[in-house]
Amino acid sequence: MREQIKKMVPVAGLVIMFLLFAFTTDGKFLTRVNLQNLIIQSAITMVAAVGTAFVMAHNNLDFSLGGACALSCVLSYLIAGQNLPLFFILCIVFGIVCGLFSALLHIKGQIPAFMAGMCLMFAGRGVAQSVAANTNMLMVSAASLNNVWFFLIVLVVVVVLGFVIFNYTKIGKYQKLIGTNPKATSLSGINVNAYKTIAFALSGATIGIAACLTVIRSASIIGNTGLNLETNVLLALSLGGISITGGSATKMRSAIIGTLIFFILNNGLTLWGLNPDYVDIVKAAFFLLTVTISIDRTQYDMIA
Amino acid sequence: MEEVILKAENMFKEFGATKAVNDVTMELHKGCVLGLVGENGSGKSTLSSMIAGVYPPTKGVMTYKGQEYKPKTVLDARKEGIQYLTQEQGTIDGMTVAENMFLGEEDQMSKMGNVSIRKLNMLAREILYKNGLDYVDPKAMIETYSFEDRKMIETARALSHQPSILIIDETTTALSQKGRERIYEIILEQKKLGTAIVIISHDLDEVQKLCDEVLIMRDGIYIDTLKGEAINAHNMREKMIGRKIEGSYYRGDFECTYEEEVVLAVKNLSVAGVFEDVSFDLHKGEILGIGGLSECGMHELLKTVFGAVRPTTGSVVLTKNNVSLKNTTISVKNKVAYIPKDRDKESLFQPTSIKDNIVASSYDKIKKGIFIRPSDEKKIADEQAKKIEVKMQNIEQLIRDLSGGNKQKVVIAKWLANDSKIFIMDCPTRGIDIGVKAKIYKLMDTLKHEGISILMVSEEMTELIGMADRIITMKDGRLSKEFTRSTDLSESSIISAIV
Amino acid sequence: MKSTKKVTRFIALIMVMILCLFSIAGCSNTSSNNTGAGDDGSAQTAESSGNESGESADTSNDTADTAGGEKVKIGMIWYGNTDAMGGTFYSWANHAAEVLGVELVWKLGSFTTADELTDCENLISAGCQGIYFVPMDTAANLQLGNACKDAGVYWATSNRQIADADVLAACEANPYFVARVYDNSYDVCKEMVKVLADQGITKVCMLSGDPTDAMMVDRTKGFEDGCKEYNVEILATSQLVSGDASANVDSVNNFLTLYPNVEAILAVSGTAGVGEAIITALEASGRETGSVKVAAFDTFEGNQKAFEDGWLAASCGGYTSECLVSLLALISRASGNSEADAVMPLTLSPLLITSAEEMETFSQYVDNPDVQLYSDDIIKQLAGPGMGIEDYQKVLDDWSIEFVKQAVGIQ
Repeated sequence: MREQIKKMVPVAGLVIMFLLFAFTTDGKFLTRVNLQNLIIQSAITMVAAVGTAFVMAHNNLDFSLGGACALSCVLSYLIAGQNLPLFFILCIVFGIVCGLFSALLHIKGQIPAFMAGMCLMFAGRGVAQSVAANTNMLMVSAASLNNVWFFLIVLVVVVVLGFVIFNYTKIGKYQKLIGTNPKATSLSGINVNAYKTIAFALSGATIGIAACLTVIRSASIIGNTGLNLETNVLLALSLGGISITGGSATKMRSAIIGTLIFFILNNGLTLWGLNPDYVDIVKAAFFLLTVTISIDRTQYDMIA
Repeated sequence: MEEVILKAENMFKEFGATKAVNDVTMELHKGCVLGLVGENGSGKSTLSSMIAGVYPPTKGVMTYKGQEYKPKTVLDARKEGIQYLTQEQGTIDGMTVAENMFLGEEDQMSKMGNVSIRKLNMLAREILYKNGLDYVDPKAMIETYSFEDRKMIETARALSHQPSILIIDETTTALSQKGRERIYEIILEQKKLGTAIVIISHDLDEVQKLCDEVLIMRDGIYIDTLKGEAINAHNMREKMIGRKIEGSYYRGDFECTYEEEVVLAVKNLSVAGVFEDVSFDLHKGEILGIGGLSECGMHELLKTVFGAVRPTTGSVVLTKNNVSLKNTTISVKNKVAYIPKDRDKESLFQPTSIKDNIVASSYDKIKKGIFIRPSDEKKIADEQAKKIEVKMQNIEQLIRDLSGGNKQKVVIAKWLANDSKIFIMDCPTRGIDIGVKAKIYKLMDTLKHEGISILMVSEEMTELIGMADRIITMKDGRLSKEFTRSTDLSESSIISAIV
Repeated sequence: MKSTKKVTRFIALIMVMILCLFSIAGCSNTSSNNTGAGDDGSAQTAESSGNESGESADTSNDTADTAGGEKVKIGMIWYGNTDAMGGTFYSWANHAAEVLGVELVWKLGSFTTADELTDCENLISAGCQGIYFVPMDTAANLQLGNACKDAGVYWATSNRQIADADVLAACEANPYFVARVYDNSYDVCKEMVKVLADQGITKVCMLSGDPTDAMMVDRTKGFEDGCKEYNVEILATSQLVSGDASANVDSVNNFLTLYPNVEAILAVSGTAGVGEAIITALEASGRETGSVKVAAFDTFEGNQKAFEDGWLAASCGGYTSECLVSLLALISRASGNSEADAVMPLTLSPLLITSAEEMETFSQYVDNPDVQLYSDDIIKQLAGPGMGIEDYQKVLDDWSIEFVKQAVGIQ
C-alpha cells in the first residue's frame, strides 16, 4: 500500500498544484490562453523527455540534449537554410545521428553514456556558438507555426508513439529488462547493444523534434539554442517519479506528469507574482519534496 | 546435554502478509550441532537471520548467555560472538582480501583514525594461514579468487574471533567436495571448542552425518525435533514434506537412451586459460552430464557453448541447419536455452514480476506485427507458471519474494515458453529443496522423452549418475573421461576421473 | 493486491476528471466574468480571441484599470540581479515602481528567446499590462512582440539594436511596441577621438572589432569617422582578440615596434582583460610613462591607476539609464498617460570618462545598486502624462559625468 501511495505522489502533486493555482490566481490560471500557453511551453521538454525515458529505462543518462539540439539546428540550417520542411527533416536526422554517436561512444568506446553525452553537449554547444558568431540565423518563417494546435498535434503524436513503443513493443520491453539486469538480458538471447542503440536513436529523434519546436519558438538559432534542455528534462523526469536506475519501474507517464509539474509550477509562481528572490527557493523545496517521496528506490536496497 | 547458550522463544517474522516464521521456539547448546531443515520457504533461513541480526523478529524474545538479546545489525551480532555464513557471496568486490576480512572492524585496527594497512594485512595473513589458506594474498583484490576461495576466506574471518554460535546457512551447497570437507573439519573443531553450531542444509546426508539434533520446519511452523538415531534422511524428508515419499526421485530407468541424431556438435572448443580442446556431440533426447571440480572450466564451457563467451578456437554448430552459435541471440533464436548457475545475478530480473521473467525470451513468439499485447503476455506466463507449478499468488507477484526453488521454476518456465529444444543447464538444482528438486528431475525426464536434449553441468555426483545418459568428466580444463549410464556406475569412479 | 490497484486507477481517473472539469469550468467562468470586474485575465482572453478589437479598445481597458484604483502591473524579464548593472537596474526599477505605485513582476535568468517567450506568456497571463525585456537576439523582438500584440500588452526593450531590416519593419508595425533604446557607441567613439585630438595627438593605431558584430562595427566606424573628422591618422589596424590577453599584448607590441611615432592606441573594447593587456604591454615597452595614450571602450580593472599614470586618456561605460528610461516610457503608456503612433527609437551614449577624477566618480556612483541617480521627480515626470520621444531622448542625452556629480550632490 505504501508503494501505491508513492506511485500516486506525482499525479497527486500535479492535481493539487493545479487546484491550488486554479483557486489562488483569481482565475488567471484557468484562462484558455494560459492553458494553451502551458501546452506550448511544456512541449519542447516533454517531447525530449519521452525519448530520454527510453535511455533511462536501460539505466543510462543522456546529457547530450541541449548541445545535440543546438548542433542539429545549426547543421540543418547550414544545409537547408530557410527551407522549412527540409530543415525540420534534417533536424530530426541530425538528432538521430547525435543519438547514434552517443551510443557508439558508449558501446564501442566503453565510455559511460553520460560522459559520451556530456562530450556531445560541449561539442554541440561549441559548434553552435562559433557558427552563430559568424552567421545570422534568423528563421522568421518558422515562427508562423508557433500556435497551440501545431504544438498539441506534435505533442500528442510523440507522446502516444512513445507510450506505445515503450509499453507494447520489444523496444520498450527490452529497455526495461536491460535496466533491471543487463547480464540476464543478454543471457536471455537479447542483443543488449542493439537495443541500447535503438534507445539512443529514439532519444535522438525526440531531440531533433524538440530542436524543431525550439526554432519555432525562438524564430532564430543562436549559440544558446536549447540551453539547459538536459537539466530541464532530467528534472522533469525526476519530478514524474522516474526510476533513476532504470528497469521495470520506469514509466512513460513520468515524462508527461513531470514536465507538467515543472511548467505549471513555473507558470503558477509567475501568476502569484512571487518575489524573484524566493522563486528558486520555493521551486527547490517543492522539487525536493516531490522527488524524495516519489522517486523509485527499488534498486537502492543497498543503502541501509 | 550441555548448557543452553541461546534460547529463542515464540519467534514470529512477517513480511507483509507472509508469515515466514510462525511461533517457533528453539534452543542452542554449547558444543552441540543443530540441523535446521525444511523445504525452501519453510522459514529456516529467516529464523537464523533473526539470530544473526539481519532483521528483527516481529514478535518473540531471544535470551543469549542468560541476558535478553536484541541485535540491531549483523555487526552487533558479530560483536556478541554470533557468526553467520550464508550461501550467497558475503564479500565485496573491489576491496582487498584483508579489507574484506576486517570490514566493519576498522575502528579496532585504527590508530588515530587511520587504518594501518600494513597491520591489517599482517593480521589477515595470520588468520588465513591458521585456516589453511596460505595461498591467499591478503593484498590481492577479493574478486581475483574463486567463489569457493572467497567462501573460505569468509569462513576464516568468521572464525578469527572465536564465535560462541556459528550459523552455516547452505554454505556447502556452492562448494566443491574439497571445500565441503574443509567445512566439516571446521565444524568438528568448533564443536570441540564448545561452539554452538547451526547447520542449514538441503543435503540430508550431510545433516545426518554432522548433527546432534535436527529441527524440522514447514511453512514457517515448527514440526519436530529429531535426536540421535531418529536422524535419518527418510525421517527428515517425510517430516519436511509432510507426506510419505516413495522410491528415488531421480530417473527410474538405468539405460542410456537417446536417438542417433546429433543436434549440437562442439568441436575443438577452447577459451584461452580456461579450457582447451573440448569436443562432444549432443544427441536428440539425450541428457549429457558434465562433471568436474568447480574450477575445471565446465561452467565457462557451458557459457561458451551458449554463445555468451567468445571461444579462442573451435566451434559450436547446430547440426540441423548448420548454424554456428556465435552469440546468445542466435542461440535463443534457434531454440537453445541456458540456465545459469548464479540464478540471482545471471538469470533473474529481480525487481520485476513472475510474468516479466517468464515472457522475457518469448516476445518474438507472441508479438503481433510489431506489437505485444499484454493479454498475450499474461496468457503465456500464466500457462507456463501453472504447468510447472510455481508456488505463487499470481503471475504479477514479484520474483524476489519467491523461494529459491520457485525462482528456478520460473527460469525454466521462461525457456519452456520459448519452445526451447536444447537446454543447457548449469547446476540446475543448486540451493533448491528436495520437493522442487524432484520436480525438476521429473521435468528433465519428460523433456528427454519429448526429444529435447539437455546438456547439464553438476557438482553433485549423485545427480549426474541419477539423471545423465552419458557423463563426461573434466579435469583442469580438458575432458578426462566418458561414462555411460548404468546401474553400477559409482560416485568414486567419477571422482577419480575429476581430481 | 488487485483491489488496491483498481482503487488507485479509480482515484487517478477521478483526479483526471476533476482536472478536465476545472479546465472547462475555468475557461467558461472567466469569459462570463468578462462583463464584470474587468479582471486582467479575462481582458486578455477577450482581446486575443478578437484581434481586430484594436488599440482604442485596449486603451479604454487600461484606463479603466487605473481608474478602478488597481495598480498597473509590469512584467520584467531581466537577466539577473547579482552583477553591478543587473543589481543596479533591479534596485532602480523597484525604487521607481514604489515611487509610481506600480507593481513589478520579475522573471530572472532567461538566456534564450524560447525561455524569454515562456516568461513573457506567463507574465501576460499574470495580468501584466506591460512587458519590459532585453532581447536575447533579434528574433526575440519578433516573438515576444507578437505575444504582446496578441494579448494587447505594451512592450519595451533596451540595450539592443534590431539588426535585421525585416524584423525591424515588423516590430515598427506592432502597435504595442512603446520604446526601444540602444547604445550609441558611434558617437561616444567619435568623442573619444576628439579627446585625443584635443591633446594634440595626430597618429594612432587601432584595435578594431569583430566585423560580424553590429555593435563592434559601430564602434570601429565611430573611431574611423572621428579620426577623419579631427584629422587623426590611423597608422595601423589590428583586430582585437576577445578573451586572449597575450594576443592583444602582441598587437600592441607590433604597433610600438613598427610605428615608433604612434601617439595613441584606440581599442573598441577594454573588457575581458583587453584594457589590462594594453596597459601591461605599454608599461613593458620601455617608453616613458604616459607617453602613449589609450582610448578604450568600456571600463576595466586598474583603469583608475592607468588614468593617474597618464596612459589612459579616455574610457566610457554606464548603460543602466537606458533600461530605466525604457521602463518609464512603458509605464507611462501602460497606465494610459501617453499615446503615440509608433515605437520611439531612443539612443544612449555611454558616459565619457576623461580623467582620473571622473573615473573615481564613475566607480563610486555609477552602477551602484545603493545609489539612485534619478530623482523621484524625474521618475514621476517621465512616467507621467504628455511625454514624447524628445523628452525621453533629452534625459538620455543628459547622461554624463556632470549629471552623476549633480545627482549625488558633489561639486
